[in-house]
Amino acid sequence: MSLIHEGEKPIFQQIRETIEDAILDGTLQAEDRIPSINEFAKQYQINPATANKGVNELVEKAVIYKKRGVGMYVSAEAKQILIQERKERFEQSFLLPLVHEANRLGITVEELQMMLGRVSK
Amino acid sequence: MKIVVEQVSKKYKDKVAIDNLSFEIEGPAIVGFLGHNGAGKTTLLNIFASLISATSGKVLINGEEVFDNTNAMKQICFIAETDNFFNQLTISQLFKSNQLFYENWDQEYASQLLNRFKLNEKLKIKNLSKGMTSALGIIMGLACRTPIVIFDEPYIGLDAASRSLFYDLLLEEYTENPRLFIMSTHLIDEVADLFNEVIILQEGKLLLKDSYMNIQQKLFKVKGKKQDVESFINGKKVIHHSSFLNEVHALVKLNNQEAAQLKTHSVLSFEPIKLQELMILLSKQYREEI
Repeated sequence: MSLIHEGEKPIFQQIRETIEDAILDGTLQAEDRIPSINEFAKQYQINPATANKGVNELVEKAVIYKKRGVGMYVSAEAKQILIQERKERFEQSFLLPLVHEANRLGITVEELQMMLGRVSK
Repeated sequence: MKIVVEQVSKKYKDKVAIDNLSFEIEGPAIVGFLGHNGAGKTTLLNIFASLISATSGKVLINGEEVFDNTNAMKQICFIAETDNFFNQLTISQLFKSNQLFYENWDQEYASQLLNRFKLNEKLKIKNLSKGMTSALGIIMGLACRTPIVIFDEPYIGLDAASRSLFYDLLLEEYTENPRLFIMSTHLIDEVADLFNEVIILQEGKLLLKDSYMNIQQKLFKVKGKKQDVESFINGKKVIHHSSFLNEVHALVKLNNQEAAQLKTHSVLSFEPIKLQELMILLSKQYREEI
């Protein structure tokens, strides 16, 4: 896992997304233990409160659950929850900017569909 | 672990260094203490450490007034930019005297840290390079185990690798022995993510005091076309505003509700602001207002 420190997102958000991505691509499976807050803090040289914020947002979404005194684990439903959430955001985050730029360049919907067909092969 | 600053001023002959400041710092925390040269950082940190007295007002450490109070002074370890130690001592002699003054001084940990920074305890302090002297100050601040540790520009001459080692050690120490670390620095963006609280001074006044989390969640640089940016920032608190070609940049401070509603936007881009840039923009705004 590596973060782009110069990134355009707050660091706690980057931490959250790093864990999410690891769950989505299978690096972290259901019931896997995730690193502790202090391990995250140390790894990324950030204040533990900042790491905690990123991780806690995933606890709130039930993507991660805590076992008292033991650690934090990926929930059984984690991947499903994340896929659902990312799908809902897909249009806003990916399609709208794509269409926006296409409009600016005068690319028609038909041309877009052709390009899409080409790159998804 | 609490420092209370009550209407503190420090005046020199023709200069007001600290101008009627009041605020509180509560630990455990790593607090970034920032500001331009001459903002009053070192003066205020010296008052915290009881090295100089305030002209008026008072500083309380855990409820006790700090000036001329040995008990309060023993709770603070202050590491200045330079001239922290008697030159004639060796490192091991310095450590012995620390042991006498700081009740919780951890000699074993101090020796480990010497190894980490590749320093020999037999060396005389006057023979150390700038970087080595800074490393020694860092070791002292970590090993003194006082409830409050102040690092005032702790790393003159320290190279990037040693600074990174310092950040690792600081986090480790903060996690294992939580206490209040206050750090003033000019290498702001390098350390910003270590902070949980940020204080910025300007001309002896408080320019900003907020949690780092709040800064990251509520202060955003908005970029986009003029009309899009204008319609977004309408009614919001704008700290800075500039335009170049057809692109407008605005630094806005969102309230809780606005921050919660913030989603990805197709025509505007949002970026959290870096602490250093925030300091520069706030101080510009401050100067324009007076």
